This record gives sequence, C-alpha cells and structure tokens, in this order.
Amino acid sequence: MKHYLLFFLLPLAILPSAAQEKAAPNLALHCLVSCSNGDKAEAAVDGVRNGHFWETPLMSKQPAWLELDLGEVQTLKKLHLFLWWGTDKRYYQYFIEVSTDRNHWQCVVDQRENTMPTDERGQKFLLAGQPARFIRLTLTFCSVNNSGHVRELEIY
Amino acid sequence: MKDINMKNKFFSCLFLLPILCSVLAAGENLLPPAPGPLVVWQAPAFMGKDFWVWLNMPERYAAAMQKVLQEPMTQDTVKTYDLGTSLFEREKPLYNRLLIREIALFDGDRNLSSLASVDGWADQAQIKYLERVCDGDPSPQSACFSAPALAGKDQGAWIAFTFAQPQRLDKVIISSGRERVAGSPDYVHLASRFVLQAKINGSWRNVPDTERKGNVHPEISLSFRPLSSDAFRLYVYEQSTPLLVSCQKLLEKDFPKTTPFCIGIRASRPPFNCFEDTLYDSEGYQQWKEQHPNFIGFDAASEWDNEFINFLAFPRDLDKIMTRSGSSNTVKKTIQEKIFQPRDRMSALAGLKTYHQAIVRHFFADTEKLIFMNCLMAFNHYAMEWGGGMISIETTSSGSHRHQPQMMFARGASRQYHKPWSWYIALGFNGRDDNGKLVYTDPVYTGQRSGGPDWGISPSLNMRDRYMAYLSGASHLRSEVWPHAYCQDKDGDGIWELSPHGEVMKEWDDFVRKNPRGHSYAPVALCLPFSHGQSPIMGGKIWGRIDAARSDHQVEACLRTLVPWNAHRGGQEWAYSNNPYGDLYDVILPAPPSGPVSLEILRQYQILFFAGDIDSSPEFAKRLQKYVFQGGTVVFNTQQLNAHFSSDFLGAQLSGRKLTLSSPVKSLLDQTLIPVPQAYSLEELKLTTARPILLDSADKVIACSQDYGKGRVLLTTTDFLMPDDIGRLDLPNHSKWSKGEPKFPLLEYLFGRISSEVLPFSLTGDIQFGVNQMPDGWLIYLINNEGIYKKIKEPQRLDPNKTASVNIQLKKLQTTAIRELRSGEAIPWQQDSNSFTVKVAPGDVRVYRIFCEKDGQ
Repeated sequence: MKHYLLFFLLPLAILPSAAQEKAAPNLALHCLVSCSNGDKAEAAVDGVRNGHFWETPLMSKQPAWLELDLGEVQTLKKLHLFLWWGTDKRYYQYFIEVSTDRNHWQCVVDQRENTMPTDERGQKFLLAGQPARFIRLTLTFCSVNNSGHVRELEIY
Repeated sequence: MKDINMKNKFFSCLFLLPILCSVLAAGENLLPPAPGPLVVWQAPAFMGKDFWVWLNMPERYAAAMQKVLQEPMTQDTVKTYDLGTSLFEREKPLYNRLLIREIALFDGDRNLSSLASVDGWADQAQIKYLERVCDGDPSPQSACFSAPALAGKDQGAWIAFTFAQPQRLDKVIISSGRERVAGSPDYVHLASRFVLQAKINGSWRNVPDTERKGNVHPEISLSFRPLSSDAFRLYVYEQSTPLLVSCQKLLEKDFPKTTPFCIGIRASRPPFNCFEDTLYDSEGYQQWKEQHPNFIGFDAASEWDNEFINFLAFPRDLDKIMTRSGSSNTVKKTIQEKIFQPRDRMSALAGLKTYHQAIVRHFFADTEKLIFMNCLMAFNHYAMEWGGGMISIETTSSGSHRHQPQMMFARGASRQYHKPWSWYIALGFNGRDDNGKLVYTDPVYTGQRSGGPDWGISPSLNMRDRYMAYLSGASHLRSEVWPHAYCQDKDGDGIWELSPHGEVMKEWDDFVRKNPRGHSYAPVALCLPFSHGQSPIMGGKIWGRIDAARSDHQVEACLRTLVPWNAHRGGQEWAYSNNPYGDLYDVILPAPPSGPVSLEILRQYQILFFAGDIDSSPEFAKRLQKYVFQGGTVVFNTQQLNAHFSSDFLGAQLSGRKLTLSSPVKSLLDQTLIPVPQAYSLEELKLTTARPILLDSADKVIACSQDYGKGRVLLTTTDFLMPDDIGRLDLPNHSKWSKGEPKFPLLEYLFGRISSEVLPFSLTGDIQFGVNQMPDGWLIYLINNEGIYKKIKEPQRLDPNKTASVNIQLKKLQTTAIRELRSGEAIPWQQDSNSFTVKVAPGDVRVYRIFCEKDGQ
C-alpha cells in the first residue's frame, strides 16, 4: 500500500475554505453510480451530507466499492468524503482510485491505515488536477461494525 | 301495563311447568358427570427438546461476556441471525432513474434513429447526455440518464425522436439500465414499464404491441405493424428492478451445524418487501434446507399484526412510513388496492390474508418454517389457519398490555392447529417520564445502547412472564434487549456480570432445566367468531377501524371477567391480574373458513363457551352436536343461536318475547343468590326438555341445561350476558370501561362454577393461578401480581403487606407429597382437611408439585 501516491494527500489545514468550495460545482452531484453491494448508491451523490447514505456489508476479505461515472473526463482538484459519523468515535479505512477509461486506475487517496474518527466536517483531499471520468472508493474497514456507510462523496 | 305483566307471568308459569317437574337438586353440577377423558396435545419436540430458549451470543461483546458465557443458561440455546429486510439476492435499489443506453428505430433493417433530433423530459430531473441514446454504442458508459434520480419511486420520463419527414417504422430495440455490479445479470434502472408512442395529428398515441409491463430484459426488441409519423417517443413509466428471492444470503452465512437456529428477515415490515413482484428460487432453497435440519424457521413476520392495523387505522402515517422507508410503487399500489380501506370485517380479513400470503411467498412458500409474531392484536389463529408454522406473542408493558389474554389466544391457536407457539419478552415500558412525555424505555445495564438501569419493566414482571411462558406450554422463549438488560459490569473491570434481569433469567433457566412441566391444563375454550378482528390486548376498534357491536363487547366482557382489569394505575406497571378463575381458558376460533375444527381438537376441551357471534353453518352445528353427544359441554347465549341448532339439541325454544330481568338471580345448582343491580334484557325461553339452572326473582329462565348424549348444552338468555347499558358501542371498551365498571355478575357466576368443577382442587386467596397435569399428579403455579410497584424509570418496589395467603383444598386427591419447586421445599399439608396454606410474596411466583396416587388423581 506504500506504493500508492500518498503525496496527493494534504492535511486539512491547507485546504481551501468552505466558501471557495461552494463556488465550484460538485462534479459528482447526481452522477451515475454503481457499487459492489447495497441498495442506495445514489445517496452518496444526492447532494445531502446527512441524509440517505450508501450502506454496504464490509468483510475483511471482501472490500466494498462505490464507483462514480462523471459522464465525461473532468479535471479533479479535490475530493470531499463524508462517511458516517456519530458519538462512537468510529473510523473507516479506505482508498480512492480514479480512471479515465475504467481500465487503468490510479490510487489518489490511501487511508487504509487511518484511525482518525469521522465527524460532520468530512475528510477533504486535494488532488493535483487529475483527469478522470471514473472515481472508485473502496472501503476496507469500519472500527465499530461490519458495514460501510457513505453519506456523500463530493468531487470538485 | 299491568295486564301485560300479568300476561307475561302467565306465560312464564306455563313455560315453567316442565321446570317445576324437573327442578335440579341442590348440589348438582353445571357439567355432566362423565364427560370422558380429554384429548391431550403436547407441542412437538424439536431436536429432542420441547422447550428452547433463544439467546444470541454477540461476538462484539465476547470479551465482556466471558463470565456470563460460563453460565449454564447461555448453553444449548437457539441462535438467531438477522439477515435484513428481504431474501432478495440484492436489496431493491432505493433510487430509480431513466437510464437508456440506446434506442434504435427500424424500418426493416435500417436504423433511423440517428436521423432524428432528440428531445427528452424526466420528472423532477434533467436528462444528461441525451445525444448518447442514438450514438450506436449500447455500453453503460454511453448512456443518457436523468439527474437526479428519485428516491423511493419511479421516475416518469420520455425521449422523443423528431424527423424532418414522416418515417415508416416497424421495430424498436431498447437498451436500458446497467449492471448493478460488472458481470452480474442483476440490472438497475431498467425501463420496466414503457410504451412507444407516435405523434398522430398532433397528439401522442400508443403504438400497438409496444406497451410492456414488468420488463426484465436489458435489451428488448419489439416489432409492430408498420406505422408512419414524423415523431416517435419512448415513454418510460417505471424503472423497477426485477427481484429474485433466492438463498444467496443463506449460502453466504456460516450457520451452526448442530445448534438449532432461526433466521430473521424483516420482509413484512417497512418498506414491505414482501409485496414486491418477485421470482423465486425454491429449488435452491429446498437444497439448502435439506442441508440444515437444525433450521427452526424464518422469523418472518415480526409484529405483523401491528403493521396491518397501522395499514387500516393510520393511513396517513402509513403513507409517510412507506415513502420514508422507500417502498416501491408496486408495494404502495398493492397495499392501497388490496388492504388499505376495508369496507367491513370480511374485507379486512381478506386484506390480512393478502398480507399473510405475501409474506409466505417471500419465504419460498415454506409455510411450516414461518413464525408469525403478534404484539397488540390477536391474529395468532389467522396466521396458522393460512399456514404459519409457529406463532409468537410479544409481551411488553405498554399501557394496558394484558399478558394473560395474549397467552390464552396463543395457547388456544396452538392447540387448535397443533402447532407450537413461542413467547417473546420485550422489556420495554411505555409510560410518561418526569416531564409527562410518553416514552418507551428499556432496562439497560451495559451502557451500550439506549436505556438505563431500572428502566423498562420490572425484574418481577420479567420473571412472571418467564414462568408463564414455560408453564403454559410455549415451545420457545426469546429475550429482547439481550445482553444489555441482562448483563452489568458491577465492579468496573470490563467483564460483565448478571444484572437484576440476568439473575431472574438464571434462576428461571435453572428451574426449567430441572423441572418438567407436564401438560398445561386448559379445559375450557372461549370460542370466538373467525372474523373477530379484536385487540384483546389493547382494545380499540374492530380491525382498527370498525365500531364494535354488542357481540364484540361480550368478548371483552368475558376476558375482563377472567382477567380483572387493573390498568391505568397512575403510571404503574401492569400486565397481569390475580384471577379467581385461573389460567384455565384458551381462545379458539372453532369455525374457520377451512371448515369446522375436528372433534379431536374440540375434545381437548371439556367446555366450549361461546363469546360474541357464532359462525353459522350446518356442518359446524353438527360438529358441536357430536362433541356434546360424546361428553362435551357447550355454553350458548340466545343471541348466538341460529336455525342450525335444533330445539332437540337445545331442549328449549325461543319465544321471541323480550323480557327484563328481575334481580337477584337464583342458582338452582347451589342456591346462590346473584345480585344483578343493572337492567338486563332477556329472551323468554320455552323449555321442552331442558332444565333451568338460573332463574330470576320472577322465575324467568336465565340459564337452562340440556343433557344430550354424555354431554350438556347450557343456554343463557340475557342479552350476551351483559347489562343493557354498556356505554356507547362506538367507544372502545378499554377506555369507557377503564374504571372497572360495569361488572358482569352472571359471567362471574358461570366462570366460577366452571372453574370449580373442572379443577380437582379448590383454591382461596387473592392470587393468579394455573395448573399443569403431571404423570403423577398436578402442578399448581401461584403468582401474586399485587404489591409490586414499578414506574418507567424507577426500580421496582415491593409492599410486603400485599403478601397473599392462599389455601388449597385438595378435595379427593390422594396426595403423597407436596413440594415447592423453586425452593425445593417440602410442603406439609393438613391430613384431616386435605389442604395446605402458603404465602406468596408480592410480585413472586411459587410452583407446587402435588404428587398423587392412582395415576395422578
């Protein structure tokens, strides 16, 4: 996992402000989605951060994935991921890949050793303007149960 | 007026002539002298045991539970698995959207679609990449789609093709939807209901032979008679995903090889997946089942009664619930068309059957493996009549919950259909908190879920439920809020010990393992009409929306007499009542649509006491006559009679004259005078061969007895045995009778006589009791429901002043020993009076085993 391009990850402190984020359109909003399991994949791109969510069984040997199709190749500058948050200090482990053709994937976020609890602010990741049409989020672990829960994945 | 009264008296005297000739000698019984032995049915054993405790061992808390898991009570239990809201290979997608990969419009073998300009519309959405619909690429990456998708409903949409010149078309190929997962045959967003339309003279007309409902094909080709137009459009109404019920979820799970297990599937609950149009892989399921002989069944219909009544009683809420939970249009339509607004009892019953059948279908139609759980209603018999394999009652302490009637219905249904029943103990307490807010609380001692120590029901009520379940013949017992209500980290070391509820479970479990229970003795059946639709638990309208008739109120009057009403005690817990007549009564529905119950079933009971209306048919009347002829006793009211019951059978004829009762009523059986302070109407009887057993002070017949074969027919004459004024019929009896009025002295007398005559002993004291037949005697349980106080968030409190003193007179029983089974204590008894007296503490249970000579008698 160390071979992935971790340098794309930047700390939250240097991310643009919420005001800047609002100015840019969320490229993922209402886009086509598919997933390895679960019945509410579209909830992850419905524009509501604390509404319906994509829920999927999560087994150690069977990671769950959610794939977004932006419709055409776009230049990606930032991902903003909202996983389930609560009072139980839960954390999730996951990674995110991007592709232009759905054949060749590039890992742009690797949080497979993450132990930072989730919260309502979500996790932001700056990208270096990767061209991509397909974005795939793969969940590998949840600290409190065998399920993955994605409230929203925003792409700018 | 005087003349009329004189006339009445004259006729009464005439009718009384045969009476005077055959007046009963004081001391005669209500029941016939030699009714013959009762048929005994015992619930079948499963994997060698006739009683199982269900207890999951949550892996999550394995470390904290290591000490608790050493307790014998956690061993040898049924495991349960929750596998979600359906057996669909995948859940139905919540979201629907238009997703068309390609539309090809043909004239012969020429695809003309690329010649047209394309336009589109979608409900509450825009259509993206519309041009891709005719780019010749049917891959999902080249699809047009609506955005946003709609949650919980289909998205109406159309795509139109406009040609510069009219074109002749004879075929369309539509590629829609996408694989849910790459390589899977499971598609989402398929155009499942659609039609091709052509613009004719300025308006859109359906092209014949192109309308499809329930399409499951990702690519579909439709040929039609050639048609010319300059504009065509595909109108898509629904994108529902075809669903397959399979055993995929079962195969993915590693179930135990030897321990019995049950699988919970919430298909009967919102979003009501059981109503989906579905395909079934029954063959695969049969193979799986054969490999799992330790599979008890599907927990298929939790609180199905509550859900159904919500359909009927709270339609507005239901619509909200269905929308919020994402019920599909198919589901909503089925519920609205087939269940939603019944016109009468029979259509309500038909709606319930539709619901039942939908549940059954979802579980491969394997009815014998389905468990239906009743909570606030009493639909136990319905579940079994239509094929359920087991019923379950959920008890809690919500308002006026009454656990004894719940048990009476469940045990009766179990015996009527010869299928097992189970008891699910919820520990929740519905009540008002310190701020007056109505809340539902659970006792929780682990801090790992909502609730708190000393919340919920009392440990005493938990204990009483457990003993009742075991001793009244349940085959299974389940515990809600396990392990959190039953475990507690007392010393803060992270290892849980037993909480007060856990200690209750442990003591009870030890009792169950050590003490056989024999056969729960219930020789009396309260017989109700099949379409009763009542909630004997919570009251309210019939089927949740129909005003009760007087006959319906009689059912409640009987239950309220058998189990005295004691609810609304200022926020105090209540679920059981001390009852002078004992837990000796079952409820059966003896004339279901499948035909009158068999004689073998009826012969489980010494007496059939009819309450409410009687389902009438010649076959049923014949069956009852045979039952009586062979030694049974039936109790009818004149209001329940119909032409199928002959005067030969009854020993009396209805005069058609209405009279009023003159208090008191005198019993010719034991000379008791029964004060009847309220006004009663009655129907005058002409006795032919029957003898009076109750007369009013003007010698009008209040009840008579007719010997028929070895048995008896008892006929009562006051209108449903209730006073004329029972309040407004449109008001639920639970609220209008909440103060304990009216009383039903005639019912009290009859139940008192019945109970005393069917018991081999007599009992005095303010206590709840029940009886089990043992191979070598009897088992009597005593439960003191008085002196126990519990509010919603307070610990239970006991008042020792309410300790019950109970005397048991063993009559002719040739007793050899008596033992209290919980303490193991030998109980001395007075040899001369053949009786013993015991004390039962408030909220406590005592179980006495009476060992007898001569085959237990």
